[in-house]
Amino acid sequence: MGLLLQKEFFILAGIFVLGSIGSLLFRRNNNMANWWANSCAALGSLFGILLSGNVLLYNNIYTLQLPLTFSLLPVNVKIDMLSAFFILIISVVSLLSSIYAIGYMRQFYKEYNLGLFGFFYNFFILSMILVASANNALYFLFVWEIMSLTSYFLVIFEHKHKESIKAGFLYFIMTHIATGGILLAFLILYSFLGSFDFDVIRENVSSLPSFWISIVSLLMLAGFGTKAGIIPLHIWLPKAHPAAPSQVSAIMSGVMIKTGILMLIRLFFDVIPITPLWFGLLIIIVGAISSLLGVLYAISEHDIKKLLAYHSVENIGIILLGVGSSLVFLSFDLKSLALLALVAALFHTMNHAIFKSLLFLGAGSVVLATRTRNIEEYGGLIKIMPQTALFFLVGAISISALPPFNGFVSEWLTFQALFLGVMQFDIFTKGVFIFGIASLALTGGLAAACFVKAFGITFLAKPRSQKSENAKESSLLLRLPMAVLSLACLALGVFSIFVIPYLESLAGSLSIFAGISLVLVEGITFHTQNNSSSLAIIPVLIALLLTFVFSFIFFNWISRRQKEKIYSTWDCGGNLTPRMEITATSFSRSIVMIFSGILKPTKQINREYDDSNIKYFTKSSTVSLRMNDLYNKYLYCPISNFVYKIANFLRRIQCGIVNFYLLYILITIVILLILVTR
Amino acid sequence: MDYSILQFLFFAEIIIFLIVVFSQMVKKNKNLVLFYLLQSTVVFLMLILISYSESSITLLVTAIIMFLVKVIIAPRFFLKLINNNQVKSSASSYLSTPVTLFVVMFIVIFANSSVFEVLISLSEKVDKTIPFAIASILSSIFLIINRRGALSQIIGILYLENSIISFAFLIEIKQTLVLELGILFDISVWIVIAVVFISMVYKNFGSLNISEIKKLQD
Repeated sequence: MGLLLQKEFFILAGIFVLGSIGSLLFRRNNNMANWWANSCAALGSLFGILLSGNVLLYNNIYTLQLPLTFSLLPVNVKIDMLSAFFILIISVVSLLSSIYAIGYMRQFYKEYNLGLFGFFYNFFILSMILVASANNALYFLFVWEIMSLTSYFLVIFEHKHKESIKAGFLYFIMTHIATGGILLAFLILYSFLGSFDFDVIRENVSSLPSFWISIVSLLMLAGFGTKAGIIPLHIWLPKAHPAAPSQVSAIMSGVMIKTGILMLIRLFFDVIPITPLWFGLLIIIVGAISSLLGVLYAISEHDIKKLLAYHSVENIGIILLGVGSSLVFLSFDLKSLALLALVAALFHTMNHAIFKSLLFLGAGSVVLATRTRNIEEYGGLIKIMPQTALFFLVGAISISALPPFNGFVSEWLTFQALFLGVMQFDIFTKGVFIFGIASLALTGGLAAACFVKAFGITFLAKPRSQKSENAKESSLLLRLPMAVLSLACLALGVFSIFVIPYLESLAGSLSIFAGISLVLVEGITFHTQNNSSSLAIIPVLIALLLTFVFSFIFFNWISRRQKEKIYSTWDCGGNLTPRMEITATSFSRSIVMIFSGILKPTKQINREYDDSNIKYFTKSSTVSLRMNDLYNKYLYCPISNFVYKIANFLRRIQCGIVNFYLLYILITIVILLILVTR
Repeated sequence: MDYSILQFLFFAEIIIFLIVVFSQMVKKNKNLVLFYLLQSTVVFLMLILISYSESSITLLVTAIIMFLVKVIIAPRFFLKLINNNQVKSSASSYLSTPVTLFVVMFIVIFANSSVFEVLISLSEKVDKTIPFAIASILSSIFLIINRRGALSQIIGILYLENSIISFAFLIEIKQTLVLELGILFDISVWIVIAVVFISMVYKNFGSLNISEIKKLQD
């Protein structure tokens, strides 16, 4: 079996490398490059599914240490159940996104070089798989950097747009600050334990002083949290994800940010599972704030892809609620509760990957058909693009955590974990859990409201612009992946009773949970320490269906004697135009005003008059509502100003005379010598 | 190594160091090149002597090739450059001669301080010689820093290279013949490039003074 896995792993890597190099070779023929790059990416992803499936089904841990490696960069790969789970998610989303891309990328044939895109795209997917399977910090940092760089080039793919370049630059800066934090954390571990190898760190981590454990934990949270998009380190995410082509947005939002979550789980539950209580509570608070603010910013957004990107921040927050609760339970040695919370986090990780990629692909189809990302210019697309509308609706219901779709089950599990936390601890810890519950409840409601807006304004009513009127339904290559993802959303919800035991055994495979189980009995009923909860998803589904059927029958029964007459809508004596429809701005305005203390909306009214001297007769007036970017104003601008001042001061060192540079070198050598021999 | 060889190494190292010190005061480029020739000859003799005492053919081959590159080819290149372009006088230094000598004095004190005890302990037989080698290295760096003329900076780099080589042989760091030849090849290519570059800079700007070249950039 090990040999088979090894073959699969090398074939997988080989296909992606072939895809990259082949794309470059076909760079003069965009059509060939597109087909080659995406076919290879799809095939490689298929092998990824096979590889991870092999590990997950047979619980075969696959390890690989290349004999030819040199000591500075040891290629140390380990695919256990946890890695295999994330490789599965990466591969599934990448497979479907690559099929989608074959149709989607055709729009760029005349504008951009798809050979170059294919090169980075294949390496990007491969690097994510390698990140998930890394078992050595140096090797991990190497593949992590490849992932960051390739994704940067994908973000700036549409380099003729200034916005893309700006977004890419911000992403580049943030991702490297994050890498700096991670590197520092690993160096601290190395200075104490003398190894970058995860297995060695795991064995000796108990000798690490508690102060340094706290420092390492904070650095890891900041580093991986930036990649995952936690607030306030998320600022790159709403800019970078929308800038990339839609299938890349789907992969970045659906799975790339999850590599941050994977590493948080890998480190805090497996490699250094000795984090203090306050750290778990901090993660819950960060998760609660991220989920709430993420959805609030989403609701005020009118760029469809930015809106979805903000929902990624929200969902990362929900996942962190599960992760944080699990860490708190572990601090109190409540292992079965910790297992439950971790299962909730893992399930939501998977669900978010599925429904977020579905939504991004759906948004991509709409953008492709209308050539705009502005929701205000959509409308009436359900008649033009009925299938895309259906798929987007499935995604919207899933992300809004409505039964029977997958988002509901994982959020329900997260709720259970948080409720069980409230029942256990002292007043302070309880307070943190209650804060988590309140924010999760509010987030669920706001997410539903946001997607009523997103779906309603996009697909319902009349087209608001010529672009929407001229739109056409997407091609089969675009609809097929969306259909599969929609079915997955439903299946993961309805059949969650079969998925959760798998996730339980997966989380249970981590050494910290050895011998612990949730005692699953019939469906989603579990018994933990002194508690039990249950959710019967199939009866819920049946109840929903019955309600729908009975409502339909009842409606037909009461209106059986009424004859249907069609009248035109009363239009106040004028003509009904799309301008009379409710806009996305007006829809979200009431919610924005409720949270104006957080969102700080600004309103600017511009009026033009027929006669500028007599301001009685208005010619035209425009109202623009904007949200103040609090993070920029209160966090990033002061930091940036500070750095700018220091840089200006340090500029004096850069005199441009070679003698001075040599003098700096000499002084540095002398100081180092004195320090070394002190 | 017997006592007489150690004595020779001691004096050779002093000569290498003194050449660097005198170069700090020399103003003519031609004299700088001649000093370099002298220093390279001393390093060559050091190598010949060590190869004789250790009966090492490898060191002998290295010494002969070094002689060709550093004593014959490089000085010829530089002298030709000076004659062709009439770059007779080297540009002035940033510090005056007394201050320069004062800094060199500090370098010598620093080289004899406890900071370098670890290095000195590497070879107890030449423990009195090593501080001179360290002082030569640091003084060569200071020469490059203090000089305004590009040519004297390049020769300063070659002084530095000689000082490092003599230091390496004192503490018995020896490489394979291939590596030694590689290093020599590297230096010869570097000399060729530097000379070509300098002549191009001089033709274009009419000066090799770093400060003046910087002004042209503005």
